[in-house]
Amino acid sequence: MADGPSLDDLLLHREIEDFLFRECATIDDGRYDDWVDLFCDDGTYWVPSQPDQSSASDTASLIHEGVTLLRARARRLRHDKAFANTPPVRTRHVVGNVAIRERNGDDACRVTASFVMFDYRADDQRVFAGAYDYSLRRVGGEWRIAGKRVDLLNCDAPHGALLAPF
Amino acid sequence: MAGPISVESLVEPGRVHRRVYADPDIFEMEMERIFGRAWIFVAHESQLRRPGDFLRAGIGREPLLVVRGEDNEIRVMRNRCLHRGMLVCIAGRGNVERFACPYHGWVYGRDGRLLGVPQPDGYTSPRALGGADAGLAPVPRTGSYRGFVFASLAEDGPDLGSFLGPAAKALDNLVDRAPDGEIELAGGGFRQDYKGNWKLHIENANDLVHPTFVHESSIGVGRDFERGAAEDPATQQALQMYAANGIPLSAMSEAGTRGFPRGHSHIGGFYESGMISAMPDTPEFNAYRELLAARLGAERADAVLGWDTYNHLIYPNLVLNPRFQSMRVVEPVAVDRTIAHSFCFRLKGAPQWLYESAVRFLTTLNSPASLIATDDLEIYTGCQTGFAAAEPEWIDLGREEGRDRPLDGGGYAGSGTSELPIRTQYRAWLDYMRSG
Repeated sequence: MADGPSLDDLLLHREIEDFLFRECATIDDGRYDDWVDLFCDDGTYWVPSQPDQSSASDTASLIHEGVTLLRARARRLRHDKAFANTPPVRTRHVVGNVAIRERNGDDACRVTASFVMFDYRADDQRVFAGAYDYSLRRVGGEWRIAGKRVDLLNCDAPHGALLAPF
Repeated sequence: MAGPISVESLVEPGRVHRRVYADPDIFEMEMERIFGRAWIFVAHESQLRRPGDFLRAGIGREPLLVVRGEDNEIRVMRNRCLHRGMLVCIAGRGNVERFACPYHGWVYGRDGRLLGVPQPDGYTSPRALGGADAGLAPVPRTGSYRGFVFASLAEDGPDLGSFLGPAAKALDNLVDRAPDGEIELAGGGFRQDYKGNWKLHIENANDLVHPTFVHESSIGVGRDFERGAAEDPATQQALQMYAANGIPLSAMSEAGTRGFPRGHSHIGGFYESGMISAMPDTPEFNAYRELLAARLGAERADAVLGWDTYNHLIYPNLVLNPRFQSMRVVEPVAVDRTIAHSFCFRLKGAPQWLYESAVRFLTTLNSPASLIATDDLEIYTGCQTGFAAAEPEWIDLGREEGRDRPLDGGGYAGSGTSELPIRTQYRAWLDYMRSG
């Protein structure tokens, strides 16, 4: 028989999937601060505005932020004068097609996945879909996000307010 | 809201009737009488460098095609086949030898002329082929000012220069900031979609009272995080922009505002400190300042850089921010739906950091995920919903009315917290709307 995945690979895959599911749960539960806690201190969250966008400095992005701005974003969402989030947005993520693309020892890997996110606010439900591209790093034994790129199918469409993280 | 429309009855000094935002018949009139007459921005020349370069644009709801011809002329024509009305060009932009209608293959040149029709003898009516001059209908007038291409659907009216009047200075100032004397559209952009009237956007762009209230949540987090440890420039710029919306209203007043003939207006700058101030005394900024001085001379360079203004409205739908090389074009879709397009420019010859700062300004303020813009969108939708209430009938625009000071050469000046820009817009609105 040809070589299948090793037990070690399967365990890692399961561990990574579990991490992604827990990450999405922080968003869907509205625990945005907990979501930011999953990033490395030097982590970046990037939602390009164009398909196949190669640069975040040369081309505008829907979001391209480090941890400080993500914390500001999280705190603002629960600010009592965040009119755009009154009533608060609700979301539900479905994550699949999880694949470990590169593995660097036991403590770093690159992971891609597909997702669907529904959001609902003020009588309006929308659907977003796209691809995730993660750089993950193990910090103190726990997986953390060094980089998360979200390529929305409709990144360059006209949009109403985009509130919750994808 | 039935009945004949007397537009004069809807606009009074310091107030307008809610119908101007809520009545679909008024919206139809606006498309015909304002967007059908004014000079409307359709393209920047940097988007059309080579013969055959084209892009799709629109005035009001009319689909247009802007093309650079063999002769280097930029032409603006209706994107509509002479035959059955199909869009001749369905791509957003690109470069072509000729345009072939996807429906039945009628072919047009880069100048819009009809070059050929498959099996022409089948078209028995001579009207169909229209003779040697047949082609995509050009818009009646096109004009260009410092690289900004405008078009007008009206045969008559003021030329582009007279239309712009003192508002041309916004375009001058933007281009003059480039050490090479030229700018290019770059950096992508956004489209914000909201359920509200188009005028809500332009009014808000020149309103310095709203930030304190509407943007309280982003002001709050801007202040909370601004005082943290030293951060990268991207983080600092966003936090400083969040916090700057919260300067005292007395400081917003001092920023000042100007209203000009034909509805144009601008508000003064209110980014008072940090990296977003007009002339920060940093080695990077001073190096740029010297680059500009090499072309303009030190005195003129300082006058250009020191002109500390914020949003300029070129009525009805172009919003420019020369200091951050930013532009918005407001597309009216329906009486209660609008799409606001946003862009930024690269100043040729300027350092890369300056361009990156323009990209960040665009993002922080105009991304549909912006902490600032999302609250504005909520306000537009909320206003539109409010307008459906029959009482009160009137919308108040009277803030600091009577304190507007006439300017030499036309127009008025007021404090930054005056509703003068909106009153200026409605003077123009009435001028356009009352003549049939």
